[in-house]
Amino acid sequence: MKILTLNNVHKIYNESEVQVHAVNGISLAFHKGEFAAIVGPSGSGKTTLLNMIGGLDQPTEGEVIVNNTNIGALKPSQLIDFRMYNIGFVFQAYNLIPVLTAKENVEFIMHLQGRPKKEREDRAMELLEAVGLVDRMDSRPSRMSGGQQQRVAVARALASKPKFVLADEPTANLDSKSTENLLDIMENLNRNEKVTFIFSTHDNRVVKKARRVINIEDGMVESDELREKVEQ
Amino acid sequence: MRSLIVMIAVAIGMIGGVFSSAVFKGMSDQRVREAIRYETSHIQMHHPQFMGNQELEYTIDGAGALAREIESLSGVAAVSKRMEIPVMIKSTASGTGVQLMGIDPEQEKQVTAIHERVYDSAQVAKQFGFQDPARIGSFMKDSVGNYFRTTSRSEQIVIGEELAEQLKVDVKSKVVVNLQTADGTLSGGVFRVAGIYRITNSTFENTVAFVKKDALASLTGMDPGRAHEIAIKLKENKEVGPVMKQLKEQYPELSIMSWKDIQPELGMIIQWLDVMLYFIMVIILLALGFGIVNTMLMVVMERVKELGMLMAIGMNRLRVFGMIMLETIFLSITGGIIGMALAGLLVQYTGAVGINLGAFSQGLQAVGYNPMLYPKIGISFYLIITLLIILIAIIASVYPAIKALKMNPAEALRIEI
Repeated sequence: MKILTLNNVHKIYNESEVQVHAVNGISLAFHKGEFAAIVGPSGSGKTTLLNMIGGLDQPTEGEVIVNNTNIGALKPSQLIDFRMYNIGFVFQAYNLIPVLTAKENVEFIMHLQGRPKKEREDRAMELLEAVGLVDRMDSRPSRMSGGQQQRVAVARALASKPKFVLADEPTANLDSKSTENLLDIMENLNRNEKVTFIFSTHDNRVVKKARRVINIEDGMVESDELREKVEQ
Repeated sequence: MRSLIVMIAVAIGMIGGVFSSAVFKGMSDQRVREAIRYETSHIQMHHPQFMGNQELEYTIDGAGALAREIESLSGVAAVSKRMEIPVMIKSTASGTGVQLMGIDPEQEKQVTAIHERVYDSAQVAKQFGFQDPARIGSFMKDSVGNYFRTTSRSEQIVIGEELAEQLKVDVKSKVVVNLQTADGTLSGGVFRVAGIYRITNSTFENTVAFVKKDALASLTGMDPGRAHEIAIKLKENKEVGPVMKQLKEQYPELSIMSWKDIQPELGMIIQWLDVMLYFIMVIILLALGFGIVNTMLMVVMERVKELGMLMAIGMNRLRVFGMIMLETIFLSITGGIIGMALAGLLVQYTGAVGINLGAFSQGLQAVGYNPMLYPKIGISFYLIITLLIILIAIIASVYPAIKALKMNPAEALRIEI
């Protein structure tokens, strides 16, 4: 089942007099249950591409279609709601809310959605269990390791049951053990819960685990290697 | 940490604002209290032409009966009948013009409190001035606290410390008083200084002297039952309005003045102090507002990533705006309340102990201010300030909140701090 389609997407930044063509006509399709890595050197346009997929940025040209909705045509306020209900985010710097506990961080997005307390708590516990952090549910981010914080971030990204999770270099700040642990958790969620993950990364450990690797260079797709077909 | 700075800044601003306002308020209240207590009493009645031209014959008809009538009015505490005559007073060293008040000491004590500030030497008056003579007991003689000595055989006069200095006289010195009698001839008499009073208004000290009414009557050839002035002390300050109204209705033929009419500069100074007070508060609140804006902008900049993340995961702009506004308002109000509590304690403490402005006392005393200052502020002032802080906090929160709104989540997330 196709959940995300990019049709000839361009992104041009006007930096003073010079135009920067960050994304230059990319067309891609992603299916439910993918575990895909977008790989490329710095400045290749992978972050810009990810921002457009996540509705944080809009294409200059072309379409980004998530579940039959062209998100390029949404108004900014609609886009915010769209992101809240359809897309999960995991950031490089974890970006948890420092004053909230692990459990509250996971619940936060459901709070924004106005879900009832019981539902929020059950879902948060379920997710913390999935990332192996039930015992740290009352800890604040400052009292957790980077790996633990990133696992909370993964749980948070999944809280609203999004169509897919976008992870922008999720392992960039982690040591190898935490990286492996995080990747195992994400892989399990992907295989068992059919959660779709799309990463941007230049971390080989992530690339190795990925079942689809898309190489980007100069804003264009260099190669798109499908290592394992998604079971439908 | 930032939050703490915002709160401390607001708190310090509040302490400064409330305390300086309390100093001004205390000062003006004190001045009014002392002016009423020592100088003007609450209300004075005169012959309608007396205030313009202080001729001997402008006395109040039937003053004795009138005084008794007024005394029985509700709200009136006491009444004193005075003769008031402009005279020349001379010592061996110099001379000057003063208002000589002929009083009945026992009556006068009920209305004003000059007698509580009568000392038995210029030296003591200067050194211990403004203090209760009872506290400096060893210097007490029978004139102290009593206007005149009971034992003296000569005619007595009580003068202000300022006048004593000008005339270079002390207690027991002789002064000569010259005046025009009822029939237009010049008359004079010798008085012995029985006591020297010291109040906070040196102009008053310099221009008003007291003798017994009988003595003044015999000097001028007037009937001692007549009076130029009836001074009225009320039970409470707030009675001035109603009693004034009643008196004006009942005695339309007389000039009736409240303390504000008698010392118009006093009312003016009080109004001016009030204006100053609001100026100070406006300046402090403005500075506070800018301080809050600045610090909250720093907060927004520092939390760019967090705000970017919140917007990325679906927090809408209204909520981000509200969050920054609420945070600013909450911090400002918390700081404001802490500041007001501390300021309240400070005002209470200094209000009880007093602040000695001895170093500036000469200038202050010349315009009638006590060098011991007792800050004071009303509850309504705190309420107004609370409302103003809330208002300032709301205004100050708008700009940082707008700044937060303008952030692009994609860019905000990538900013390295």
